[in-house]
Amino acid sequence: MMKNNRRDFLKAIGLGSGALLVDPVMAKTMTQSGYGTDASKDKHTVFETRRMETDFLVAGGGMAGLCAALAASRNGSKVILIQNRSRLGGNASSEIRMHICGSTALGQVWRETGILEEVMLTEAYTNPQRCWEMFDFVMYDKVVSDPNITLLFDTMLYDVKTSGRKIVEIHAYCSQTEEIYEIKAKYFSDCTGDGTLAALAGAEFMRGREAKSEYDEPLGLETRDDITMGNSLLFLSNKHDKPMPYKAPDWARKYKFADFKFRRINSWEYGYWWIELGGLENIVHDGQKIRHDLMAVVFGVWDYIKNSGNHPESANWALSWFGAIPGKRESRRITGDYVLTQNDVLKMENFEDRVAYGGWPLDDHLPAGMDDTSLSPFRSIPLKGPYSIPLRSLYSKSFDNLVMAGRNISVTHVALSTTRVMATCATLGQAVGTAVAFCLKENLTPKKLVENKTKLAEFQQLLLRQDQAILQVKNEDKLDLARQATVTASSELKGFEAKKVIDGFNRDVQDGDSHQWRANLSAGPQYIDLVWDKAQTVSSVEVTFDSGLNRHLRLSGEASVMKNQKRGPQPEMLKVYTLELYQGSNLVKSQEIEENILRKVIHRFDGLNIDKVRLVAKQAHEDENARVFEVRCYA
Amino acid sequence: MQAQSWHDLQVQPEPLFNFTVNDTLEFAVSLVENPLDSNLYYATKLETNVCHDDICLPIQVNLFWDLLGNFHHFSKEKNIQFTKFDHQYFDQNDYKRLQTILTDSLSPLRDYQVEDLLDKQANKFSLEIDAVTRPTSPVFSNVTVPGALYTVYTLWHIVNGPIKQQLNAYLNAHYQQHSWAPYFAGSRNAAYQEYFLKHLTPQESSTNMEQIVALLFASDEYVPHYALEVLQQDFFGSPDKYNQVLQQADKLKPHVLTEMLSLISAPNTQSEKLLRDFSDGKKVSAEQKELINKILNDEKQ
Repeated sequence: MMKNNRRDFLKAIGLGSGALLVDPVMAKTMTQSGYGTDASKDKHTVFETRRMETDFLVAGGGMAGLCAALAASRNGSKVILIQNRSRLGGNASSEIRMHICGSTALGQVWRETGILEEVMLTEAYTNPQRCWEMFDFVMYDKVVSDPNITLLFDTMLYDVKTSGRKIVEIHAYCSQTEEIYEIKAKYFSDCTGDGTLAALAGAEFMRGREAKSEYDEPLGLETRDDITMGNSLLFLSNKHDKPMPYKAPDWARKYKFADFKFRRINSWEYGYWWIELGGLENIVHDGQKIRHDLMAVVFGVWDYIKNSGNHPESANWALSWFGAIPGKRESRRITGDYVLTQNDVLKMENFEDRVAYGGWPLDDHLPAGMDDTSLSPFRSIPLKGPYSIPLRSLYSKSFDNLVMAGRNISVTHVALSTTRVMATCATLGQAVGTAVAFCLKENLTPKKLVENKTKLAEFQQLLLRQDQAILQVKNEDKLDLARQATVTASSELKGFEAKKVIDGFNRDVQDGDSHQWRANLSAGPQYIDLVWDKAQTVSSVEVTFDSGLNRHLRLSGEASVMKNQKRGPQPEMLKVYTLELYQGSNLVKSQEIEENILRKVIHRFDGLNIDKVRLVAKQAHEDENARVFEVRCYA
Repeated sequence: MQAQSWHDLQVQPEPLFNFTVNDTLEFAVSLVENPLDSNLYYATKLETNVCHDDICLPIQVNLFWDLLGNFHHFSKEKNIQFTKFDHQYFDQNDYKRLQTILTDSLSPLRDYQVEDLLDKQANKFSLEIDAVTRPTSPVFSNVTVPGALYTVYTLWHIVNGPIKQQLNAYLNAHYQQHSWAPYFAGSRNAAYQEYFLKHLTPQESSTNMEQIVALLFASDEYVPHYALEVLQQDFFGSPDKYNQVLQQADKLKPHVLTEMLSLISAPNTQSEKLLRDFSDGKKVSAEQKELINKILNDEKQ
């Protein structure tokens, strides 16, 4: 009775039932996105059932799901993002705190760009205190500030309805609000990590380690098995100004010096990836046991550090945090039209439908983990350079409207050992989110998109424009007016000429060319001009700056990982500049930027008739030069 | 590089076995002793053409593995010169580099096919350090001797290939027959010491007590702990046995002593004096002091 009264009240003020219970995000969706809800209690007397409809349902709010949702919404799709935790980021969130790894491991120039780069640049700037929850906040802020995304936290998928080769709707339950969501969508993305959505739909998936014979992989096994890499539980510790004793629980495992022969304890401010277990168990369904076993290892290792006498420097150190959610490395892998293999990675196969790249080593972990400390916990094969990942590995072969990003993509176990890291997962998210929005606009499916070479090239150009790096794809966007402009500058350094801002490359690609305009600012502001013979209608000017992609830029609890990073704004980034749009000598429009921190900046206007764009560079954050990789202009 | 002629070695008359590589190359593996230092190796005198892509590379080289099957070193006869591309000779640095590469069992040569290491496309990885392009990954900068990729690649796969497993299997099958336990225990090679400790029969544990105790003082970080594992059954309950170690407590690594103190019990008068003396000394740690107190007060540990 109370409930009905309340519902009437909410209806009276123009909101669907439950809107205020959730947060303004829900209210926004229901009112702005135009999708109605139908609260009913037909079969449940306790749970509320809410029916929703959207373009794109993203299941999983880890780095892949986050980027998939943002990419799709920025390309015009309505998105519902369900996440079974109260925070975004998955393994990178404050709940697990695994630092994001990726192609920086190559020691070259290949830090990932796109949405991930935007998030990381924002995080480094807004979180000088290196607080993990602030990293969660940066991601949350991006999502809730996007009018096209409905974010549903604490929401676990439990059922999927299909019809033929289509997924029709998913059912999910929110533990905090006792709501059941029944969500219809045109496209679904499995970013659950475990491939839960695909498995519930009955899509084909892979599990375990393949035999050599299956994909001709030298690292394959003689006989396939159902073993996976294990899960890890991390911890953080702080140094205090007095001794901090530690007493381990009785159930903590006991360790001796020789247990750490292959697992070095050089510092203990951040836990160890090798606190790993579960590869020999069912990595999903034995999760409760694996979690407890991992806690027994965490406290056992900490007990060893504190009380063995072998690390007396730890006397003033104490645990400040430990994880309760193990970080997973491997579970189901959804089968796509293509299965990426070890050979593709090592031979750096240049797929025609490449949409992302990876660069982490082939880093396989022994399944026994801490159950057998006499063995090295991993086998890592370094890569020569980045390798491409095809779109065919990112959609299901079983359902036309199911895509996937994250660790549950279509790869062999061996290939997974490199694709599984989160920076790579994030770029896969951007690829599928963009693909879905593109397919919706073009009335294609991802499979048809791959088959249509013209559209495929157009799609790759779209990804590149939105700063998703794709190997050996350069800007050939016919809509980019800058490519027809004449480029000059007030000054330029040798090898960094002005014309390079329209040479098609927006980053160092290790071909010996800088691909950027650089001008010394010590004598004052310098400008670069893009001039057309006749007036153009310009609605946006997009600029790509230098953010130091050769460096690592990822929040970590580990001192050695943070050591060579630049927190705050990146030093070579152009901080202060003015964008001026001219018609002849007449200044039509001017935008002053006082504190830029982003690599990719889009300046939007109401279609202006102009024949010159001038970027006046005034000051970099910590560099005497202005550095600009690319300028694009669009009608 | 060790200038070690095959003729200077004491070679066992009968080869241990013949080994075949890729169905094309067969060679005999023998047990040899270097008379200069009495070290034992599995070795072969490889005299063959190694063909790859129709380019035949004459190789005359002596290859040596340790008794566990790990590649150890190579040598050549004085009149032999290794050649590179365009028939240039190896210089001394090339030989040193080859030795380093061949002993790196985790080299990228393990996982890449030789074709994938060649620079077939301009925009692909180059083995040469190119002053124009950006550096390649540091792990690939020393992957080969410039101009001798096929030779290096072929040799690496011969010495680090399946022969390692076969040599290791030979050791496991013939360790007792050769009575190698004293050689392994007395070696300064930590891997030999570990093998010795982990392949003791219970009976050998008591007959080899002296060598086992000596390994408590081994320079390797882990070997002393394996020795503790072997000794712990009855050794640490018998002061007559462990007092000799306590007398040299200051020579043990601190982490070894700490673990040993957590094992010993039933001290006699001499043990108590030794423990007190150490506890009053400068080297004792807080944990060791606490463990000694427990032993002296006969507290259950």
